[in-house]
Amino acid sequence: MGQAIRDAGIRKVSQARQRILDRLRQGLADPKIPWPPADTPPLTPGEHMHVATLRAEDAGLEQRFAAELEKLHGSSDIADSMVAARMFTVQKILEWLDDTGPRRVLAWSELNSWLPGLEENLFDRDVEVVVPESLNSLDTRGDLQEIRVGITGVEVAFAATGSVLLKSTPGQSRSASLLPLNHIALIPGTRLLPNVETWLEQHQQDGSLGHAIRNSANLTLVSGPSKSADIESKLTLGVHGPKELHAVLYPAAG
Amino acid sequence: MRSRIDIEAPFKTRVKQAVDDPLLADTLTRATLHLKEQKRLSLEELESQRLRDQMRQMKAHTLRNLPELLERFEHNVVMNGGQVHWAEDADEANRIIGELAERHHVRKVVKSKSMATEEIHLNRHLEAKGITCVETDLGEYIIQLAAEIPSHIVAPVIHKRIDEISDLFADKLSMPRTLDPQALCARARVELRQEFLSADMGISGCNFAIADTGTVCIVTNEGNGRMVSTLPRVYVAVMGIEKLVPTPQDAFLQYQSLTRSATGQRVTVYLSMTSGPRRPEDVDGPEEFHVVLMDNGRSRMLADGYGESLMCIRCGACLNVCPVYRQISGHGYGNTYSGPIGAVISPLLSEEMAHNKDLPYASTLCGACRDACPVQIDLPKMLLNLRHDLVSGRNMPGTERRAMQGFVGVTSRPAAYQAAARVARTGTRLLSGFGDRNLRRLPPPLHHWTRQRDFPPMAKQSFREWWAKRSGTRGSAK
Repeated sequence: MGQAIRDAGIRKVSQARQRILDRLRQGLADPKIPWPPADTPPLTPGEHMHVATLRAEDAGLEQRFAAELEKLHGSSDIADSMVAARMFTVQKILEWLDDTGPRRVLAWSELNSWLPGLEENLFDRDVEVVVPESLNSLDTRGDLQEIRVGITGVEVAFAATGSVLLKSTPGQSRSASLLPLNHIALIPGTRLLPNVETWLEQHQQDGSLGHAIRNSANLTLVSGPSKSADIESKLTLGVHGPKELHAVLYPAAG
Repeated sequence: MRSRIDIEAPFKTRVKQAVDDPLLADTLTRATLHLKEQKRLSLEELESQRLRDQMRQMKAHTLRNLPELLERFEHNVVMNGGQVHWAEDADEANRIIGELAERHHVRKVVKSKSMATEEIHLNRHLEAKGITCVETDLGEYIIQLAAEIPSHIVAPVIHKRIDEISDLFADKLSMPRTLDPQALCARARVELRQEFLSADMGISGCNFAIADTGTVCIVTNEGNGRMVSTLPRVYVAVMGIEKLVPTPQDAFLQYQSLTRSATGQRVTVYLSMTSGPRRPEDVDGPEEFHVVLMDNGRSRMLADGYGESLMCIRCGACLNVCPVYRQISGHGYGNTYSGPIGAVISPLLSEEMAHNKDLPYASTLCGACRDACPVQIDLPKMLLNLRHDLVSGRNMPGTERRAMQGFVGVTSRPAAYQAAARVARTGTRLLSGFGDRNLRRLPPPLHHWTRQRDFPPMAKQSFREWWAKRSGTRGSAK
């Protein structure tokens, strides 16, 4: 009996699928329909226009990134060495951790692989780096609610729009860039590109684009702190995600 | 503090309620002009016509190949570990989501802004099963507190002033009254954060989905889209079958066209791209990922000759330039989808066919919507086609049909036309007290016309008289 009902359910589902596809095919086969035209070619890779581009007056990728992020109510430091980058990062974190809240930051794993020595620097300043293994129970999440600062790296960053692309992996939580009120993103120079189209073209050329998009459960493009203009078109910040986003740009090692 | 417009009322009643609200048109004009100007600024820095042309080509190609792209998308979502459900209509979509919720013992759902779930009235359906639905977009949250429906595709509370919102928060959340938007926003953050953390299921719409990779993309500024697709155990995305794009490159083209056209932003704060449930060892993310592919009248629209409207990317640009929208507001349209695009698709979507036959007339056919559209949908032409289809279906009210027949009779005979025009000229000037004021009410049976519109008094002299005089003057000057 249960099996029969289940079978009926599956049959009904596949019926919907078949009926929808049949109706579409039937409609498209009718030469009298005014739209879509029969012979519209796809946009081929490389044909897509670059929507946001660098300008002649842009001094460099770092400067353009910083200028764009500032327009989006974010902030940044451009460091000329990893030592300087570490200093900027620690400084910003200490500024955000006031005396009332816990001295803890929610981070991606292996911060030192992004900026060597950062974990030690934070330890020295009495800041605990929290890297959760799982955030799937309410208990662990509730515990993290008090944490006010999140630290992440980036998959890649785009100068023309002041954007960072974040990828979820076992060491890289989505929560670190989402739950805390402040987010700091570490951007080594090798990961800074002119715009998203450049990144797409690079992956297209070496055949890895599909993999780059779908090999993690989630990719998020972040451009500035969380905001809304729902109330009388007036800007409000930190609606659900971070209220402040700070980027630290620095030359990669070597 | 409810909207003065009763969306269940007949169209003409809704229009009257909108026009009678003295502040509504001001509020809407200010907000839509702001959006329109932001859009203009963001598009003038690039080759905007090329962007429109590429978008139109990409969307036309997608529609032409929709069945194959849907199959490819389904295959890829499954390969990513997700599940795909097909729904022919609103009832089926609601049933699928309801059953999913029951199977997972869901008591609370958090939702990010979604026109698709508004279209099928999902909240009503889930609440009837005892499931709490929380809207988490700030604007939608306000709408839900006020027990209204959104009045704009991208700016749901565009019709509300801040003092009204403050009163609402005072009433529903016992918050002290304030005119500081940041304070209202901060309060909503605290309220909604608890909801995100305790919800069992997240539901979103879908701005576009990539067939080649099985990826669902949602575009937000607040971050609620990230929350609903990250924190609850189960994440469900509800999408119309026309939301596909073939490739990642197409997706980013549409993303940037959408953000610039909707709010004039180069990019929104967040673009969340979900390819399946969380992978083993991932720190966070949903255990299950479901996609509901919904037809609900769309395949029929294609077959009936309205396929062009399926290219719509729901940016709302046509609303922001529409003179009718500014007067009657989104609620005047009485539907999920408002503005020029709403006037086209609302009567065509299966659920809403019956009570929407007036909507194709909610347009002056001025063409501003077509010029604003990022995919260049010919909305005025489709509104005309709809009117034609409705009239030939004999759905037109009897008085209007007879009036139109009379109008055709008079205008096709010059003598009769001139005589009629003379009567009208004297009559309307008499009624306006020989001033230039618009007539609020014409005598019966013409009062039906002025119930929702003003009638301008006719000019002192006819065009023919003016032309004859003008040629005479010019002739004597020679």
